[in-house]
Amino acid sequence: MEIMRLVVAGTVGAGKSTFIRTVSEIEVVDTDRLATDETAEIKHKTTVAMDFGRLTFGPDMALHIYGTPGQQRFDFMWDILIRKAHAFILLVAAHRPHEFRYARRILSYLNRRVKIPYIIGITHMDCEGAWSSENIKLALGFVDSKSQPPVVILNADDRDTVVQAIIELVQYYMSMR
Amino acid sequence: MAITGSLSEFSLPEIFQFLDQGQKTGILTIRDPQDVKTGKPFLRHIWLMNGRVVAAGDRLDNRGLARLIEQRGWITEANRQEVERLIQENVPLGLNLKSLGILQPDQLKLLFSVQVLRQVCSLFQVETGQFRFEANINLPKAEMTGLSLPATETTLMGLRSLKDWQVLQSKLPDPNSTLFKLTADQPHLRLDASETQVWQLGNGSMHLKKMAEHLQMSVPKIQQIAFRLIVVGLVEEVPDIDMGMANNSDDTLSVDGDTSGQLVSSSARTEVSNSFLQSLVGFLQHKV
Repeated sequence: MEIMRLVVAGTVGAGKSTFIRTVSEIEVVDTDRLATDETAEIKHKTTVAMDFGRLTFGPDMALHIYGTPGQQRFDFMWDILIRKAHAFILLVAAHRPHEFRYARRILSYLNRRVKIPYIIGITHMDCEGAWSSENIKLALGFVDSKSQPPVVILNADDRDTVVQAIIELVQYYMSMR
Repeated sequence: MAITGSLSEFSLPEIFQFLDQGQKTGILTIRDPQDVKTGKPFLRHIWLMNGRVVAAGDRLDNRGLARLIEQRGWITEANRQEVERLIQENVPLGLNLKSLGILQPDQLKLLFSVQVLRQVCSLFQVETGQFRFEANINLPKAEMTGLSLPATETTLMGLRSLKDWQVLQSKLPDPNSTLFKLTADQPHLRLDASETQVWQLGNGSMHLKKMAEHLQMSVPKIQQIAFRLIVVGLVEEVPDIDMGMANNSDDTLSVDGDTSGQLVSSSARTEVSNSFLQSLVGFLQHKV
């Protein structure tokens, strides 16, 4: 079986679990539990280990999608997920500027651990107080337009935009090979 | 489109970093209906041009700088009319006054220090309040001395003089994090001795706790210095891994406390073939 592994990372409540549920062909294996830290203010349940979804497109070909834990700490689970990943998408909620710094920390962490292609997925663009994608890129530290990853705007509940984001990520992966 | 938010969520150093890196031009307004310390309404405007702070004040009537000049007795009856005329011109007032010999360069520097540096630096103490940044406005030339300072440099100055870090406590880097320099070149900003020491150790080799031990400083002090270096864009914080449960897993890496920057070998993942990728894209395109 040939498998490509994608990781969906991102800030709390950016839509990581929803992203995977929206596109997976199987019932997503989730490890959501009642949130116990500051996450509880945003959502009642959060992913404590990982989410897992799958798309099979041939007798021996499959795409595996893993979601990182949502709480603000980097534990061994991050390492397990990222070490085998071929590419990742970082989801950022446009209407939560106070999370941009954490998103930046995730990026720093992942980019220091692995050198794999990634794209930025911006969610909640339709919410009040949402920042523009240009300003979000800046807040994430992308100053030089020549060295920026692709940015996609998506709705984690909407299958078409999620699939488009995955296509973008896979094509970016192909272009970086 | 204006950018708005709460200072408790997006701190002033982060705003300044954003405005500086984006080379933004516009007006930043900080407003608090009831300041925690004074109990009075609080309002400040900061004008920026290409990411540099050019003026600050608490009024929008174009009289702030003129008032400061008048308070120092530098407007006389002989030049009053001339000054009034220059306020209406579309040139920074300070530059006009200098070219006419009404003000000297040193006087302009003093005005900039009082009008901008003192006011902006005090803003780092503000605990609550809302901010609003509006781009693409006409800058008030009557409020401008003609001098300017990059927003991040203003941050560096402001944070150095900050006594109470409670406001920024949640923003400070984790003591278990490591730092990485963002450029191999010497910093473009003039750092003080302790900042230089921390910057030099920004190679991912030790976390902040160890750095504090090494430099014989307290951990909070190191966190504050690291935060300064982060928000002026000289280093980045790389979080460490909490390996608390790692021993229970069969599939773990041998990562100790100081190696958050270690690159995972690409041999950990198997490559996928071109035909696989093309099939995948084709499959996904049919799903849209």
